Amino acid sequence: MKKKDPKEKIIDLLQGNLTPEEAREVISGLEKDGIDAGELESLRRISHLIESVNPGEPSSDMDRRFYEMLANEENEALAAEKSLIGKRWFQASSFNVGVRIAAGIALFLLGWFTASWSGQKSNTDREMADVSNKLTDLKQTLVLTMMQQNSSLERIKAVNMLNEFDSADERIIGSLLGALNHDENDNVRLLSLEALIRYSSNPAVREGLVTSIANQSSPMIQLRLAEVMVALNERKAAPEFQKVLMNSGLNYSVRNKIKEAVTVLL
Amino acid sequence: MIKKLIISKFLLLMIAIPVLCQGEQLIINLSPSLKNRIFIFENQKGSIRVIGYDGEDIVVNATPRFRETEKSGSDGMRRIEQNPFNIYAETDGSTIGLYSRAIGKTLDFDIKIPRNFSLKLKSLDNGNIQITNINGEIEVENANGDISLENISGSSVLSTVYGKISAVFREVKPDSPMMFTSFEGNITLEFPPAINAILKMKSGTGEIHTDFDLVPVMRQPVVKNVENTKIYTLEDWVAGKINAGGPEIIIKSYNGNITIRKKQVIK
Repeated sequence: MKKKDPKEKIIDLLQGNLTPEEAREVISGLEKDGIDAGELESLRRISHLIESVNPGEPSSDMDRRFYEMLANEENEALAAEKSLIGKRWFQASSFNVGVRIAAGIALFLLGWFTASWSGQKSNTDREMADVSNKLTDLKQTLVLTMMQQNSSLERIKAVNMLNEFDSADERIIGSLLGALNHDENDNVRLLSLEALIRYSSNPAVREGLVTSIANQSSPMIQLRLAEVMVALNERKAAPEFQKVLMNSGLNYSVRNKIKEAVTVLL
Repeated sequence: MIKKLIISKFLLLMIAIPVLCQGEQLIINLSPSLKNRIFIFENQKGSIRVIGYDGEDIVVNATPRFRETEKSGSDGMRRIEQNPFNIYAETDGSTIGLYSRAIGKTLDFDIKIPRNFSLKLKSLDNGNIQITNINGEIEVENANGDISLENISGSSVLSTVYGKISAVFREVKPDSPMMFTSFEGNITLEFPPAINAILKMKSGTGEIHTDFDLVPVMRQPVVKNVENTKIYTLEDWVAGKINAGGPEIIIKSYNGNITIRKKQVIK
């Protein structure tokens, strides 16, 4: 049997396709490369989640965004092609097919030698780091996709998955703020708020929380925002809360809480 | 008057039924090729009652809550009904949407639906939402009324502001989180004794009661940044594991009590 490369083996391990001996071997290999059991378990859970997630029906919004992205890519590709026009002579004429193939082979051999010369040991390390980075990236993309699902349950799952991340990148923060301001389901909004509180040391998050005050109509969220703003001592929130207080239909408990918050923050 | 509506594959259908002030029935004949089996309905004003049954049609009954009286005035003039209500259904091949147009009227809906169905229901005003005998995902928002679920197998996301929530689960879908929130009302939930879950609960001014054995879960610290100093505090939820632990069930009220019961097993 052909010996599998380490990357393939890791995927087999995550899917549980290896015999116990093989699994132990791969795990010990991974530990040598600095990936511990906890991290491995988290990868396994993610790979399981990826398989179990129901792709669902893409919303028209997703469609639109996909085509926008596609159009952007096409434009970029076109632009790149234009810049290459000077080199067209290479394809256009004088060189025949044989020469081009020879050039291709020469390039391949050059690559081969460079690769073997640059050393074997660091290769696996790099692959490991690659796999790990790609999985984190995949996880984030998965969360972002799940945040677009029609089912509130899927969106709640997505927000819950964020608890596994140590930090969140701009896309995740943006998506959470989007949910806090525009999600049709109040529970998803509330949960997004709870998730954002974890990242409140990020100035963009704090600013987003302050601007979201005006967008909330659910008493549960208004009250929680008042608590959070007081805990963070976010003075910029006071004028926003004063605007909310002008709404005569405001819930009694919320009104009291917001008045308290304004007194503290002013 | 009964109208039949047959929904075939990938066909967009709209059936509008002009109605007088009496109740109206709409029968939606489901095609077996319907993909997701999700039923979506938003009632502007009024109650929704959904009962799962063993048939294959969705039977919708809509009744105006208040009868219009047709009394003649002293000058011999009669009032003429000018805004009869419409109900119609639409499908895109994967979900069924029910729509009603009933300007200002309170309409109460009684819906019989095949047992294995997911529901996404919303009432904006003047009604309660009651769901019985369903296997599926249930999403309900009813800001001004009660939500009650009975004999449910699956998972649900419920929210209300001024209403009570009560939900009795025969079975829960493993690996699926759930969430229940009511600002002013009590939340009462019953789960099978063998459920594996992590409960995260919080009531602002109310109390929390349960007969499950909760094993406290290590709470995650929350970072609070005050005047450039980071302060770590614990998240202010009560969190506890039931049995082996599992997906999170989040329950939050502000002025209401929370009660989590073991569902009595009938021997």
